[in-house]
Amino acid sequence: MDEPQDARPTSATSSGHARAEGSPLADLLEDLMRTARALLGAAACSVAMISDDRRELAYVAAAGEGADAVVGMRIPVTRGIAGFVAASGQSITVHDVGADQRFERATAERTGYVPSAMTVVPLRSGGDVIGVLSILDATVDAPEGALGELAATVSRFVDASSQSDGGLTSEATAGAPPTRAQLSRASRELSEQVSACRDLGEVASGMVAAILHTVAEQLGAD
Amino acid sequence: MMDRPAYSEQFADDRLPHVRPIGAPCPVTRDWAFGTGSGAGVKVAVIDSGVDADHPDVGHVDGYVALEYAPDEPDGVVAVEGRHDDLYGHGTACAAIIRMLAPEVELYSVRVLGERLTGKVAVFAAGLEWALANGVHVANLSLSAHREQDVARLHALAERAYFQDLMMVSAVNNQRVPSYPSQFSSVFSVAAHEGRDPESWDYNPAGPVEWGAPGLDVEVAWSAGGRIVASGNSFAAPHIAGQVARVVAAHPHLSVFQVKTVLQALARNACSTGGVDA
Repeated sequence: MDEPQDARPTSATSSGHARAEGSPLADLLEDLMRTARALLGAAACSVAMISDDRRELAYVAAAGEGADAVVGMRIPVTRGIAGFVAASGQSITVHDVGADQRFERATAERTGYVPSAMTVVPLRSGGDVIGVLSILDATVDAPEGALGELAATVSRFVDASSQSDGGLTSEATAGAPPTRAQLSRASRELSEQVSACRDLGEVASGMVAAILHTVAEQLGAD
Repeated sequence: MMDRPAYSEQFADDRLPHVRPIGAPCPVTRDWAFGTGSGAGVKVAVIDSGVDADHPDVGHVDGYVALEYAPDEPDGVVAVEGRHDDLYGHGTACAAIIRMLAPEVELYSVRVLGERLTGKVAVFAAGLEWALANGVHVANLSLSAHREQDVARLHALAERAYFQDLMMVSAVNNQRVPSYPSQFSSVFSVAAHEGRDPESWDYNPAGPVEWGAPGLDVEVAWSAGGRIVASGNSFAAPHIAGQVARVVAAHPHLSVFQVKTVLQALARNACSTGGVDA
């Protein structure tokens, strides 16, 4: 088998990462990750999207430990727990990642933070897996369905972006970013589901409310 | 753990009813069901990410086939015989659980996850076709598809398996999304329950997931010879697959529904009186 490949950043920006600087969707996702991290008491949360050639996962947004280092990283989909979730569409929770000696550990070490536990959930669009959401070392037990709702929220905003001329990639976006109208529509759709989330419990409802507040801040008075 | 696997809640002690077996004059016993319990003579296919035969918890693998997406091929898939690696560790985890329960089964690695995330259901279906064509007795499917357009194809394969006495043991998705072939009644659908005893399982008469087995905070084999502690319905399925293999080894003439009857009679929530009719 080939030796594990090190994660490599894409074309560098002044920060050393190919983050989509100024992309409203990337900023929104980062805010979502920041909110999720706070609500779950997690060390870090991140979003990685499957590349166009479907061979790599590209980290596009993160919050918490190692966030600055992980955004822009690309890893093969044939490696690690995140790669498995992307390939299979099956979420997984690993309470002890210490035994995974392969690529994921090398990637984590590059970020400066090596987790003990992680939950990785697929992101879906139209039934296809388009990326993964990773949560590291959470200290709060999310109620049933909450992580699925969070993943669906992330997917919904990525979908809204992909409907514009541009899409969210790990490189500087080409074409137009999602319009305010698109983000606003996605926000309204999510808002309509808040009442359905009330029975998910206080933490999940708080998570959804925080997400909506974040979206509202991004959109300004709307 | 965060966000328990979907359908695991059905197996909570306060929700799972007691079930009454068929009440045959000679009740099913473990000794009768499993015989030596070795699983000898049973071909078990782990349809997954590959199986690492070098992992000490696996021991050996008796055959390999990797199904790969090939758009230029008539069926869009090519089968590559010969030893392959486990790309992620997941298949090894499942194989090791089966090996633990039924040490003498013949394990076959049917790898359906590859380097390109395309054509997955076609590849998954090809893995099932391979199992049907190669005399596999038990197939562990800790993967699932979720699109409606794939239902007909996978259902047809599940039907063929049922009438060919190929025991398909299928983990339901950890998220509450459509999960195929797990949702078909012809397969052994499995979710994680809270128990830790690998020799103990539950039967849920209400469905859509019939079987509960250990899948929460379980130590499993993983990549590079290591072990991790993980949670997921993925790890419950091989627990049932191992028990199925033991039954099939002792009674190779049994059909799918007969093996289900045997396992139901020995379920943790089975009782001789009272309970609900299963």
